[in-house]
Amino acid sequence: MRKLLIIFLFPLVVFAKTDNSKYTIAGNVHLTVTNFGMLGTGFRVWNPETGEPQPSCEYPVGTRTEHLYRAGLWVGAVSPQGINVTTGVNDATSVTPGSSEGFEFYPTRSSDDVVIEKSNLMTSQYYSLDAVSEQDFYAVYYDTSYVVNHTSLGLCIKQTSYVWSYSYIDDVVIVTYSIKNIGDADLEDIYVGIYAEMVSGNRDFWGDDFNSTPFFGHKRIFYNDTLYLMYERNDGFDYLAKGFVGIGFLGIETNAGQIELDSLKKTFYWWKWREMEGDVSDLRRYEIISSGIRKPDMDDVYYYENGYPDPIPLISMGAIPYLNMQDSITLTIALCCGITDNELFQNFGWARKAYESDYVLPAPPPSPRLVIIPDSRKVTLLFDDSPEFVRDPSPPNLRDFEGYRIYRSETGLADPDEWILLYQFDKTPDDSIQDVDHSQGFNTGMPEKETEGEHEGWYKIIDQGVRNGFRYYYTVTSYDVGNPEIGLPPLESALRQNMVEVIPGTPPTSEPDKAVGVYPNPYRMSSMWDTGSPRGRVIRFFNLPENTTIYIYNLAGDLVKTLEHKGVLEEGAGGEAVWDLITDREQAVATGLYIFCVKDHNTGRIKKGKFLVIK
Amino acid sequence: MRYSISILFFFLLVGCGKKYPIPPEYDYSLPPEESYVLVDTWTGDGEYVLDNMVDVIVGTDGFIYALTDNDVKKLYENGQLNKIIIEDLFLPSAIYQDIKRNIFISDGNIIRLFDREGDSIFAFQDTAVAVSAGISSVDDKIFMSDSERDLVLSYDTLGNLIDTLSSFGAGILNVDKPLDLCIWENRIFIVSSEHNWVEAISTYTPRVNLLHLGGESHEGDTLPGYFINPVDVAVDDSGCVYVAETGNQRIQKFDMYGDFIVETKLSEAPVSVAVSRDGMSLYVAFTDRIEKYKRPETPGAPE
Repeated sequence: MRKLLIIFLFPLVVFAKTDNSKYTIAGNVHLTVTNFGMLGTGFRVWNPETGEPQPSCEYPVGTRTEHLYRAGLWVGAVSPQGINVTTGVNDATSVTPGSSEGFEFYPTRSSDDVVIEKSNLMTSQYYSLDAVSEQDFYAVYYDTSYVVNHTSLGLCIKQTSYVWSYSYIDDVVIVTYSIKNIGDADLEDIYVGIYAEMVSGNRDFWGDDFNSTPFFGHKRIFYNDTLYLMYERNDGFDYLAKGFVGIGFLGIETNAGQIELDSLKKTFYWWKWREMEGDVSDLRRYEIISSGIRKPDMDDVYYYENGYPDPIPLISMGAIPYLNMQDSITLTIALCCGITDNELFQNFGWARKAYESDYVLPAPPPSPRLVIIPDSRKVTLLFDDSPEFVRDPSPPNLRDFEGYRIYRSETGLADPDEWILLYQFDKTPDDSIQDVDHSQGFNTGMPEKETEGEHEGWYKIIDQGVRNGFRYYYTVTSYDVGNPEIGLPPLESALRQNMVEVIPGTPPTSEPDKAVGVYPNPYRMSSMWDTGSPRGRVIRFFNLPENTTIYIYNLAGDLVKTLEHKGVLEEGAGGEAVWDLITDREQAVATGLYIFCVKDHNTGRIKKGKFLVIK
Repeated sequence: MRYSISILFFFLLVGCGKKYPIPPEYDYSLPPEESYVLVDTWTGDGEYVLDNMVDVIVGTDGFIYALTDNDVKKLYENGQLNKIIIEDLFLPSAIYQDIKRNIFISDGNIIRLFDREGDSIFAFQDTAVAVSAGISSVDDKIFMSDSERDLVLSYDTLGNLIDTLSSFGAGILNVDKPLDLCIWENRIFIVSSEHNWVEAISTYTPRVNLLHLGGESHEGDTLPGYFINPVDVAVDDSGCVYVAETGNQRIQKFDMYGDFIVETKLSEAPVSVAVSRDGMSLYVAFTDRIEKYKRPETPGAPE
């Protein structure tokens, strides 16, 4: 209930263009990233279009289990103005900047100053050459705005977050904070910290309005001294809230280079909710962030012996001796999840490897180029062998391709359950490329190749038994051999990277004995492929010649529709045309028998037929 | 007749233009700056005592460094002690912090160099120097004023004498009892106390005078723009020059072209003056205290 205590909204700062509408979707953690130093939503952000709650830190995706109320950056330093701490978030019921103290980072007032998205996937609309991960978020904010009880350290923060879909690191979000001193004085004895109210709860257990429930009363907080990782799990009361969440330090860099984390003073501290609220002095906050105290884990034993303190944890490191004017330090953290604590630690280990390798990660081979040729009741898939020659970006840069998987879906949605695995092919041990061992898997060998035409030399697969007029989606993925020595499973390219949409149907034909037809015939109220939109009801003409005009008459002999057909049908076969049952006068056709006449412009031949519409 | 018609048209035209009164042109210049206002006096805070003050500077790191007769105190902007950073000085007269945050102290005829932690890096002695009264450094050159021998000298970082910037004489490239030094961009400001002048000489050669303050004679005056016994000079980021005088017991502020802006009267003769980078705060040292002055807020020009 405590977070229902909405405080009066006094304007504490000048208005800035804050943005909390973006969240990661590339991996298995859906984390909201803002441009004012906060991660998560505080469970108070709803999607304006769908009315659904925006994920704060949902893991695993689709389970509706949230793991983070919110987290934020803290920076403490000594400056000529004294000892001060700038806080990205603090104990407060509000999660909206400007409505309460604690939000001391703000973007500029520019409308362009929002969270920017980039991707290194060429298939993404956010593709950018300088993107690092499959979903990068970039934000810039400052601590120089006027905020009550805040003394600016003169900081500009450039925040970047990275996410991948690769199975070994899809439970990780890496966040870097480049902290630049843009003030007119040097900073000394700098400590950087992460405040994080991690709390696991499931929306199906508590409902979407977490803040009206005592969901926060079931946290268990731990700290791994070796990994510099604080983490949380539910005490078991919410039996649906599976999994752990953790936030830990990966590294700190200065202009002079990497700082050895072991050489820094480390703090794991937690306090009772509201102890840091409001006008707590910066000196007190600096005492905490620089204390070097390792508080006990807030586990079941602590709970039984001392009661439940509703702990708000913070981890910090320092002191970085100096941050001169215009100099920067870069703090990199990882937010990780895992179903078990061991999985959490393993995922954090992958985050550290990613950081240490400068984000040059083992990656799956790319999906092949894919061409789909629809036909009557069958679809031919042609794909090239380029993935087999791609070297893995991480050293030793081997050609570790192992095989292809061919999937089909009727929805094309991202959910893997929407896809059926049709075929799988993998290399045999005697393959000509011997960078890696190909003995794993079924050793099926590669499929047959096309022997003629534009795509000669491409692999060829025919999927038979599909229904004409229905929409299908196909994708071909590539996967590699993985690396068992370092616990790296085989990596598969993204499911929809080369997805193609297709509607099977007849090919174009001018043969005189092939009659043009319509399906469904009769058309009764609707067809299975109708979409429900005003123009979503369609009938299909089949066995059409390549270049024709279709004239449709009612029984009174009135021409109700003229269709031009050029043998090219979007996503479909060239011998078919669709009609949305709307006349040339923009009226829906009435129930009745219709006669059509198809004129083949290439041969001059005319074919006729009829169909019935029952509404 | 033709001329008469032309003249008639001329007056008609002019008359049309004066049908309505022309509004006065708005004065877009800023209002005159007011004297700095005393906001705080620091004598110590229980942790430390300020006595026998010699010099005060605002370091390149933004902290205030107070040089007394035997130590250097690093202070916050509110006068609280950060730490006593250097101790056991012998006869210090001036302090300077360079862009690398290293601290130079002229101590008798010894130049001492410390890092920002106060650890000694280097020291050298020029036995020919009688009293080193001012010190400054830029581009690996160290400048020192010898107030007894009326010289301003430059040294390399190993302590080797490079050249003489200025020597005794009556001109604007000469000095008479030079005291404090201060560097801003390519000019080194020298307080020539017996001349009642402040000169800005180029840090490059050939030496030229880039700014002269204090009038034409060596007599000095109480009028704005003149000095009587100037002791210290400071420059803010915008190039404004602040000169402390013992004779007139005031701080005068000039713009980067040498035009007088404002004076701030003091209760007694100052020892030294320092200014914050933005020119908003003055720190005036007396023998037993530092007084902090703030620039009054000035309304801006209409947009």
